[in-house]
Formats: sequence, C-alpha cells, structure tokens
Amino acid sequence: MPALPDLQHSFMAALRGGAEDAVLAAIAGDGIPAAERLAIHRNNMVLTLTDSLAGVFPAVRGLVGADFFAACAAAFIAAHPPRSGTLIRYGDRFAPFLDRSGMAAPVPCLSDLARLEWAWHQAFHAADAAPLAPADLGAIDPGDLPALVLRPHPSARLLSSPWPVDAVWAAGLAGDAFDGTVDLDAGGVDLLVVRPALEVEVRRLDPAAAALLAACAAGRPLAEAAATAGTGLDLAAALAGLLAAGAFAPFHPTNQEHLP
Amino acid sequence: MKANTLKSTLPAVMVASAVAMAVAAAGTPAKAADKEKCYGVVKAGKNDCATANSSCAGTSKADGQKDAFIALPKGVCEKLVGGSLKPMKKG
Repeated sequence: MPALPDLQHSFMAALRGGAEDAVLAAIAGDGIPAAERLAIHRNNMVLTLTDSLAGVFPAVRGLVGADFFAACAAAFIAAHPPRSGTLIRYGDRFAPFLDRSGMAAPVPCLSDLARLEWAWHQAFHAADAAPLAPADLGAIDPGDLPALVLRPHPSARLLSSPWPVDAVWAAGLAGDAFDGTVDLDAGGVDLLVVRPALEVEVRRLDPAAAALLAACAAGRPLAEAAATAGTGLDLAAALAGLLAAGAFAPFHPTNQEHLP
Repeated sequence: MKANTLKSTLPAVMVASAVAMAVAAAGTPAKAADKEKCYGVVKAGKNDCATANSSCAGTSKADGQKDAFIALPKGVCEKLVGGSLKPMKKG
C-alpha cells in the first residue's frame, strides 16, 4: 500500500481528471468496478460543489441560466478545487475566474455581479456586531474628532462597478420571474454591503461617501479621511448616511484606541 | 506618497460641526427586535456531509460537466439592454 499522503494526492489528482491507476489499485470493487466507483465520487464532487456555488451566487445563476452556470462552475471547480474543508469559504476566486477564463465575455457585468454576491456572502458570515450608535459618536469630545479613527463594521464591504450591478443583481435573483429590462448604460455604482443586524443590506453610496469609508477602513483619522475623499464630499451627509446604514463598528468599551 | 509629510486634512472645526450634524440626522440604526437568530442553520449546498442531489444523480458515474462549452447563456441576461463589451466610464 502507498503511504497515506501519497494516496491522498493521487486520489485528488484522479478526481481532477488525472491518472487513476494508483488510486484504482486501492479501491475495493465489491460489485461495482473500482473505476466506476471513482467516477461516481468525482461526479458527486462536481455536483455538490456546483450546488454550493449556486447557493453563494444565486443571481449569477438566475441571470445566465442553470446550464451556463453549471458549465462555468465545472470549469471553475476543475481549475480551483476547494482549499478548505469548509465550503463556506469556497468561491472567493469565482469572480476573477470568470474574467480570466473569458467565459463571462457574453455578459460583461457578470464578474462584478459575482463580486457583489461574494461580498453579500462574506457579510452574511461576518462576525455579529451592533453598529456604532450615533449617540456614541456624539459623545466624543469635539477636540478629539479630527484624529478619531472610525473602523468599518466587521460585515461592511465596498464594491465599485462601472455597471448598475445592484439592478442586475435584483434581476438575477428574480430569475425567470423578472419582468422588465436592466439598462447597462445607466452608469456605474458604488455599493455598500453590510449586515448591521440579521439581514444583509446592499445600498448605493455617493462616490465621495464610499471614498470616505474606504479611507476610514484604511485606518486614516477622520479629518484626513475626509480630505482624502475629495472636494465632492459632504461630510455631514456622508457620515449621517453611513451611520444610518450601520457601516461603522462600535467603539470598544475599554480599549480606547479610536481616540488620539 | 509617503514622502509628502504634509498630510491633507479637513479643519477641525469643520469636522466637529459635520459630526454634530450627522449625529443629529442619523437617528438610531434599525434594530432587529422582532427577529431571532437561528443558530446552526446552514445555507443550502453547504452541508458537505450530505449528498445534496437525488439518489439518481448521486450514483451516476456520468461526468457532471457538460461536454460542449455553452458559449451563450440563456436566461434573464437577454433582458439586459445596452452595455457594449467595453465597460463605460463610471459616472
């Protein structure tokens, strides 16, 4: 018998379509030939991972249909099998794969739609946290505000796309029930994906507000982040919108690192 | 970028007044008081112990992959209008 790591490596290679001889020798036939058992296992792997991806990217699937999605998923699974035993982590490279493989060329907004769905998935599984309460921000000494570091909520993700990808998302989720059209020429969007409580929310942000949150996420103090966001920024309106969306993490009750 | 030692910042008084306005305007973020979290619920397709397929598909030795590359998607994407292959400038 080969050593276990060798057997595992050749098993994985065979599942990905490589040589089967070393693995077949280790499989007991018992009524069903070893090669068929391996084929059944390989088929189950592809189908299960395809189902897993369909659960993470329902709008992509709804947009392009089940057959095209299955073809994309099969190609992705062959190129990028899971690296973790936890399927929740599977699919992070799906959007770049759609770009790189050229499979999404007929639908140019498809990879950004996949990015939005991955951001939704990440927000869904992010750590729970009550968002920063406006009153807690109001309680900060005004003299400390310019140097204040506002951290994004653990679930918050920013996505910028040259397409109206939120409208495409809604159409894809509706699937065959979608009765309308999406105008791809409607222009780009900056989206905030965040889960302030139990529900994941997708909101459009003003580009300057998105730049403000991105600068905060990079650890910049408020006065500097506001300057970074550009002259188009209405700081009061942007902060009010971000606070209402639950985009900021609460201040730590004892760790005062947000203060200068 | 790092060579620039003078960091651009907004004047403190503008930051303070903007924060005061924002706090007054933002109100309280919505609370999910009427919902409770169901622990242990896994999204469909994420339970890797179970075969999520019918026993028919589960015991099939046929490859799950389609033989022919499906070059054109069918589905809702027919309802996307406009949008050349070259992405437009964001606006």
